[in-house]
Amino acid sequence: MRKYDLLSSLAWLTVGVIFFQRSVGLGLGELGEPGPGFFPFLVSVCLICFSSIYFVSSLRKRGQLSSVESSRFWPKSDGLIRISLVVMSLFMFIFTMNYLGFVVTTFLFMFLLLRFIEPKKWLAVLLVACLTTFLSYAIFQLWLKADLPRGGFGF
Amino acid sequence: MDVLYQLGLGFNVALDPLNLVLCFIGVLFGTLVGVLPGLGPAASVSLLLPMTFKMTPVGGIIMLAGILYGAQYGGSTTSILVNMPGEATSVVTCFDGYQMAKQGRAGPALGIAAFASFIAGTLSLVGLTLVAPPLVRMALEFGPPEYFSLTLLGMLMLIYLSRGPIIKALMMGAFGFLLSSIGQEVFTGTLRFTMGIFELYDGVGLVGVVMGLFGISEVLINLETRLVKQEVVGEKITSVLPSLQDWILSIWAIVRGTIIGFFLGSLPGGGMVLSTFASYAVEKKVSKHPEKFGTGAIEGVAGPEAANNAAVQATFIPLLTLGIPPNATLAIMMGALMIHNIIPGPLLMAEHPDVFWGIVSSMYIGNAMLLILNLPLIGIWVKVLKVPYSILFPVILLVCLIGAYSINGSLVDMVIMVLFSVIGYLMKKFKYEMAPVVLGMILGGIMEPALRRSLIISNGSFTIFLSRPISLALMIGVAILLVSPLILRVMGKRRRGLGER
Repeated sequence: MRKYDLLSSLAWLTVGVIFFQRSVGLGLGELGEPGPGFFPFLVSVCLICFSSIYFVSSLRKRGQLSSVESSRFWPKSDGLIRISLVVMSLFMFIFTMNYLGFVVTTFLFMFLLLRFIEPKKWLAVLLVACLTTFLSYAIFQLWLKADLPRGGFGF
Repeated sequence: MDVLYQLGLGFNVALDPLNLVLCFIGVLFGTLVGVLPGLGPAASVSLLLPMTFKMTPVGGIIMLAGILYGAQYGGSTTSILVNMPGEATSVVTCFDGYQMAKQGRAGPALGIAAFASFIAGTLSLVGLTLVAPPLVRMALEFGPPEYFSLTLLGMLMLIYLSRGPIIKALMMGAFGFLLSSIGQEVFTGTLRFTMGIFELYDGVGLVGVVMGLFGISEVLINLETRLVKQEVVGEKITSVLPSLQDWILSIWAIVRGTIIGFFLGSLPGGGMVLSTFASYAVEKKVSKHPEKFGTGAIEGVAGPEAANNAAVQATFIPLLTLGIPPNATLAIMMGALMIHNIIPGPLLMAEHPDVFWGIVSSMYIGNAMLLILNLPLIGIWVKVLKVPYSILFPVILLVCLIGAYSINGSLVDMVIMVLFSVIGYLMKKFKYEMAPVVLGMILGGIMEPALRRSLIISNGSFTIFLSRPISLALMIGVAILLVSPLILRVMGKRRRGLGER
């Protein structure tokens, strides 16, 4: 679908413009003595050119099939919910780890994903969550000495 | 016979009991990672990376290398038995491997995959052993202009070989270069694009980006639809030994796959995935029965499996001789060496012959170990495949989270990983290639200083890239790559025009 190609090329164009503006601010130097902004400046100019070319060529492709298949683009709503749940639990893991400690956070993380994404029986969920928490703690903390955060409970 | 002497020295290092154990751990872990879909070698190498800090540099790299080529063996098992590629490099193996398994020939399919991998891996290592010394002699002449031209050529090769519109891959390459410029800059110490975040002073962590783009985004894609229980075919595998007829059909496919894999793998842009597709296309073309491909032709398994293993061994050539990592996994390994103050590049062979030849020899041994791990012990891996995805995916996510955390012990790497998993998911939806982003991040760090040094040497004149013979040759390659798609397009139009008349 053409609109997705147009949308994505605009997004990349924006990325290019942001880097372009920032690298000019860093100082381009001279050709004989390039400054810190020189390389990102060159590359962002390339990105701006490429994404503009892609934008224009997608504009001209009216009615033709684009490189993105025209079949269903976004997943069904339950798929979207599953994906957002996973991303949210990933962020939850990151931001609670320092407070609750590795063990508690990991158990909660595993429990949530096993129970709510593809529901399993409570007993199985508890068993697998306990087992993975224990194993990951044993392998990464006790054996590999990864120094995982302890949190308020002391473990 | 200097090479044989050096190789003997290498075997001395590799046969050290501790190094043998590390090699075994590497290939065992690699096979497991290969069998499990969604956990790539890059993620697994970074997971074990902190462990190598306390080892000898040779031991650490021997283990990490084992993961990389071990994964190529394991990936084919999943492709053949579940019709789901365990690795990106074993996508092609699904085409005919799964069909063979459905016809009850899972054993010979797995067998020929393992034998093809072993033969190709070993032959490619022989190639590496012979090619590396002369290449190092040439690379010693390299200055900043040569490194700039070479990295540019490597990047363009990857872009032109990737699927989809070239312009999209070019955009992704540029994005990768921009990511590489984040952090403290080497010449003046200026902070670039760090937004005041202290953890970004060292740059955006490659490991987090790779695990997000390739690992977690794959999990997100898989969760779009309800999880169905995967069918594992070939419950009872009686014999994994291919028959004489199978061997006759496969042997030339293996040889051709090896050659394709070796050459594509040794390019600075690294063509592991591409080599498998190329080998499959070639086999289909030379076959007397092209219609059998896709219905269980054993050549369609043997060729690509040979190609990916030959390619994976050949990817070590640019790293060990030029100091250019051709893909993310090798970039992480380069980091592992640099922590021990060993800098991969033309001087490695002369300064640390034990490291160079130790790694090479260990790979000969590792390939032999893998043959044993993957043939008689195939039953174990079939059991691993029966773990349902609904249990597997939280474990994969957890492993990635711990891996990202353990690099620096900071939350920022984990946040980067999750952000890039969302970017990766969107890139997959909008059909953008991810390999150029990662290669851009890797090569940017080599390319930028090379470009700036060259310009300082030449006092601002770009002719420096054309006035030195090696650089000129590389730039001619760049020019051919830039012009060829246009020529092909014009020729294609003309041909179409003639056809219409």
